[in-house]
Amino acid sequence: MNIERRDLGDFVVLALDGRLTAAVAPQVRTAVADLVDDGRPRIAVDLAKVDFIDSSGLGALIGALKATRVAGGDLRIAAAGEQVRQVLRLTNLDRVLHVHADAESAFDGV
Amino acid sequence: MTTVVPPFDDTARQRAIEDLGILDSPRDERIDRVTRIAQEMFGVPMVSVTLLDRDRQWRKSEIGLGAREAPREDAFCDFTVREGRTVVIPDASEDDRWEHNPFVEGDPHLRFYAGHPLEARGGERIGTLCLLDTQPRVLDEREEDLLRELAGWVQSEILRQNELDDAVALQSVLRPRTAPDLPGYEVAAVTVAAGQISGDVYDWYSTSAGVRFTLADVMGKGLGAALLAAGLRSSLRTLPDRDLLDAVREADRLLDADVSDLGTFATAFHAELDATTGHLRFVDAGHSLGYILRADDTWEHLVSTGMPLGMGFADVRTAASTEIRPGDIFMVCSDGLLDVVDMADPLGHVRGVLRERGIQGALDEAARLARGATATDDVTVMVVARTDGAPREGIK
Repeated sequence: MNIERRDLGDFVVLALDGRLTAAVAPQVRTAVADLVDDGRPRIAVDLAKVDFIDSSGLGALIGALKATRVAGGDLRIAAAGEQVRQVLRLTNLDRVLHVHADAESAFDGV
Repeated sequence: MTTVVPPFDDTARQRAIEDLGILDSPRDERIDRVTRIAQEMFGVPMVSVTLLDRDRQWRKSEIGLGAREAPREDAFCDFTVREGRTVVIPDASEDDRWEHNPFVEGDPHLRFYAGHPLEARGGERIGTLCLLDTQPRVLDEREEDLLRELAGWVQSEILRQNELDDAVALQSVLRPRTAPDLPGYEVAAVTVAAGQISGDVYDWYSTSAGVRFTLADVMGKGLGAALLAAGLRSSLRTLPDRDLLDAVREADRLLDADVSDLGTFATAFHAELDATTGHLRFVDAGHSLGYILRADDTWEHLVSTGMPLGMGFADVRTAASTEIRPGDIFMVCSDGLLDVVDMADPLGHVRGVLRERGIQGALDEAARLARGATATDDVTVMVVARTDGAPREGIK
């Protein structure tokens, strides 16, 4: 999976590309852990180019959310497509991972 | 360096090979792969993973030998196993010990042999990985090391398969073997693992208030998921008479305490049926795949508020209730089923199959689809049909 990193100063955007499954979940976890280790625990994950997520992908996002919160930051997700939204809805995880319209505005008003 | 080789114990060997349950088992691609690699690396016409039984040698994998079995007497591999070391015979016809051997003087007229022993878990020597040629040849030190490496690989595949077989057998023992005694209801379930072992679990058992049904799906697949699924099953079963919601909350807490660092979780549907009234109380933990197919062919989606188990978020978790009435079918599945049913109309597909084939026929069809090409996840389906009362009208 291609993970693009965009530094917006106040927070960092990680833009994922492709299928978020067990095969790439460790990559996502590492990318988030690296940012947290660098003292950048405010992260917006841009899912615009993710067309499929499975339970392991969901696990990676939840693990990442916890890691950022433990470090005093937060993780927001943005621009998720229909399949991702559906999975979040079915698992009731949209209650902790609210989908923001776009990554750039994910931390607006907070 | 001198290595002390323990003396050969044929009784221990026989016991170890029988415990492994490997004799006369089908070919295994993971072991065949190693023999192919050995053949390619060494450029020999014959390679064998030979295991010793009482009076025969049996080949778990072989290339170029054409037979799975041969007499053990006079066999090179028997010698290697007894010696407990790498044995290399560059030219058997020039070797005092081997020149009159029936495999050398007669068919297949072997000249070159190199073998290294394979050991069972307790160090019992049970067989060899061996290379054979009808032409003489030598192995340099590096090649001998390579042979030992490949033998170690074969050995670990044999032992791993054995462990996995045990786990698969245990997992099937943990599933309910008989339907609960529920007059007026038909209860059945099916589960098919994506690989050999499943991260799904289903369960049912009687409590003082009725019968509890569980279907849970641990994130991911395979052995890790299966271990957590077994733990989750036990946790939900503990104190069967406590409230449904308490059982789920406690399972959530325990799973979170165990796996919070792994980023893994489980979705679950946990329900209790009062058979007399048809009252079904349930807690859905982020699973969302519980349904009732009403006698009039409409679907009711069984929803309650709650996130998956093991996530560690303080969140509202509630129970909800519904009724299973005569002619209704309650169904809960794992999301693996969604991969194998008609994506355009999954519920329509399921309804059609249930109506046309009945409960058991529908589960057979689910299993058939789950073993098919499009299945990538564990698939589990559990069905409780209420068959008492008036028969259903208007079959569509």
